This record gives sequence, structure tokens and C-alpha cells, in this order.
Amino acid sequence: MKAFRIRTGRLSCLLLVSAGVFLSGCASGPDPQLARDVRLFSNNVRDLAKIIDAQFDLAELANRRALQANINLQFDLGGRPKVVLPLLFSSEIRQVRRVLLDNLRRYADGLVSAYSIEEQSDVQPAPVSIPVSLQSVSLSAAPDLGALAAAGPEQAARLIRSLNGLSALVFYPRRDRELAKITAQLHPYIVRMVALLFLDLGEAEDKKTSCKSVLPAISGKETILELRLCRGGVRFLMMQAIGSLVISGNARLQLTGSLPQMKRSARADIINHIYATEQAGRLLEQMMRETQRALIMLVAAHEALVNSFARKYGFSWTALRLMRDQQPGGVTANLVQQVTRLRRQLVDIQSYFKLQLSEDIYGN
Amino acid sequence: MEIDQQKALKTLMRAQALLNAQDITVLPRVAQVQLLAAQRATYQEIQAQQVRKMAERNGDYVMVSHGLKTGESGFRAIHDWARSAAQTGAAVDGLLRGLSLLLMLF
Repeated sequence: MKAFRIRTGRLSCLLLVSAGVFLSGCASGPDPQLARDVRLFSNNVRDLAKIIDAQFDLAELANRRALQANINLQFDLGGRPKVVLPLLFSSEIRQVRRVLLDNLRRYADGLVSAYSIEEQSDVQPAPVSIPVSLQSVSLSAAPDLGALAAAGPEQAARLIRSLNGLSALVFYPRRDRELAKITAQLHPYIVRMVALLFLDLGEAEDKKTSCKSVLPAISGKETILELRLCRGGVRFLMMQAIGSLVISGNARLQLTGSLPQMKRSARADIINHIYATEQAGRLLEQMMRETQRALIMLVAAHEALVNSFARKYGFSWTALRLMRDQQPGGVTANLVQQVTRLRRQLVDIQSYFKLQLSEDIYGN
Repeated sequence: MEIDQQKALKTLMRAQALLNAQDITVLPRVAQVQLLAAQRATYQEIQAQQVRKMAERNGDYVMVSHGLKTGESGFRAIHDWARSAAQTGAAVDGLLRGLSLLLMLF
């Protein structure tokens, strides 16, 4: 009986479609705001991945310069140190992180591709028509017709122009529910990924007395921001490298008078370089802290996407409450703002680093 | 294991602080070079220890990478539905092109 009613309901909807009434009733296309958020999420994922990778590069550069500064000074003092400059990070460490960020980017690109609005049809509207016969759409392939009553006239018109009719009624709802499912299923991995990258960037100083920097279980009770880390990760590595550069710089400064090959005029240069090195370290430390904030915002923005898809397309899911006191709107905008700021900072810091930590400083 | 690493780091950092506090100018030339060599060794050991800790998380990265790839089957399904929608007259070329390119990369 119930099946008969559903079947009748679908049939009547199809009949309405055939009469052209569905323009105002039976279908819904992509939501423009959600499509925009999906695109922004994808763009910012790409930028953030580049920023994180670049920070590993800068830590590698600072480490190399720290070793060079020490070795150069040893040579200047008549020593014969071994000149070995091993890389800080193994290729495996870099590779597994790059693969993860690539997979994240591919997922975000997938959302954009799958939830695209057919822009070209807005430019040249096709006449409203129903090119397929009713027989070509099986009822079993159209399980969502009854749930498509929410479309406004504009959305419906866009739908008609872009997908030319009936197949849209089958395609869009299935696609939207699938996207709701994909985003919800992948959210725990996004959270876990952010926690891993957050730990990787680490802390310059211990933040608690008993230190365990193991990845905490995601129980849903804590928030990522509450992770109190021990010193470690790229921020600590960078602080050590900068510290080592400054120590070598100071030693060279103190020995200026006793090193025959050093001119007294070099003293001012060394002082400048020590200052610039410390400044570079401070800038990068600040940037890495801000990157950790951006990672938190990334989770929030993704959680907002999952919520939007779930709400719009009737998919039920329970969020991992890792983000406390989330504002309902604006999370994507926050991410965009933060990543835009970081992108600008990175350009400045990269050129500052390359200039201040150039090869000829601290020796030769 | 974790606590041992923390203890080792504390010891190394104490040693580093002592070495860095040494006034290099009062030492004979040979000792100056030795001091720098010791500073370098301590620095490298601290860095290596921290990088080892990061490397211990490589397995977690692989696991999460794999998890993110599970979205592929959903995108593939959407792609297939779009293809059949196209066959029945719908213009979903842009979406099909985008997803086809993407699925080649998964």
C-alpha cells in the first residue's frame, strides 16, 4: 500500500514535469552560496598546503646555514671540521606529508568539480524543453522526486537551462546526497590530518609540565586548541637553528680582534646579521603559529561544509565537537582571510630569509 | 619511551646551555675549535631527536592519506551518474570533464 502510494506520488510528479510545471516545484540545482564556499575551501586548501611545505623548506635552509656558520668559524680558527651537511628532514618525512596534502587537495578539487554550477548556460540560456521521453527515466532511478519541492523559480530556471530537464531530477539529488555522505565520511580524516600537521608545526617551548607529544585520541571532549604541546616540531627546529646561528654570530663578533682574516669593519655587518637573523626567526615563528590557527579554521570551514550539505540534502551526521563555540556563519571567510594573510607573509619571509641567511654571511 | 625522549632532550638542552654560556674569548685557540665542535654536535643531536619524533608519525600520515582517498568512490559514482545524465540529453559536460580529469589522479 505504502509502495503504491510512493509510486503514485512519483508518477504524479513526473506528470507535473511533463506539463512543465516543475519549473517552480520539483528540482533544485546547486546552491550558489554553498558552491562558492566549496570553491573557496578548495582554493585555500591549495594555498595552505603550499605554505606548510614552504615552512619545511625554510626550516631546512635555516638548519643548513646554522651548520655552515659553525663550520666556517671553525675553519677560520684553524680547525679542520668535517664538512657534512645532512638534510634535516628525510625524503620520506617530506613525501608522506606531501602525499597527504595532495590527497586533501584532490578531495577539495573533487568537491568543486562535482558541485559545479553550469555557468555557461547562464550566458546563453537554452529554451526550456524536455528532451527525453518519460520512458527513458525509470522510476527506480528517480527516488528523490518527492523531496525536490524546495527549488525557487530562479533555481529551477537555472536547472532547466543547464541540465535540460528530466535527467537533472535524477542526477542532482543523487549527487547532492552523495556529496553530503562523502563530506561527512571524510571529516574525521580532515580532523586527524589537522591534528597531525598541528603537531608537526609543534611548539617552540613546553606548554605543560608533564610533556607527552603523542597524538591524543579524538574523543570529542577536547578541542584541538586545547592541545598543550611540548616543545618540538618545526617551530622548535627553527628556533634551534636560529639560536645556533646567533651563537656562531656572537662568537665571531667576540673574536673579531683576534682573527687575522677579519677586518674590523666587518663588526657592523655581523651585528646587523645577528639582528636580522633574530628578526627572521621571530617572523617565521609568528607565521607558523598563525598557520596552526589557519589549520583550526580549515577544520571549522570543512565542518561548516558538512553541515550545509547535510542540512540541505537530508543527510544526518554527528559532528566531532572539536571546535568549541563555533560561529554558524563566517568560518569560510575566516579561513580565506587568514590564508590570504599567510600567503602575503610567506612571500615577505621567503625573500627576507633568502637575503639575510644568504651563503656569504657568518663566514668566508 | 616518550618520557625517555623528553629526559634525553632536557639533558641535551642543559648541555647546550652550558656550552653556549662559555666565554669563547678566554679559551686557547684549540679549545675554541673544540667548543664550536661540541656546540655543533649538541645542536645536531637535538635536531635529529626532534626529527625522529616527527618521523614516528609517518604511519599516521599514510593512514590519513589513505582515508582521504576513500572519497574517490563517491566522486566516481557521481561521475557515472553524470555520464548517464548526459546520455539522456543533459548538458553536464563541464562537470564530467572536471571529474574525469580528477579521477585520473586518484
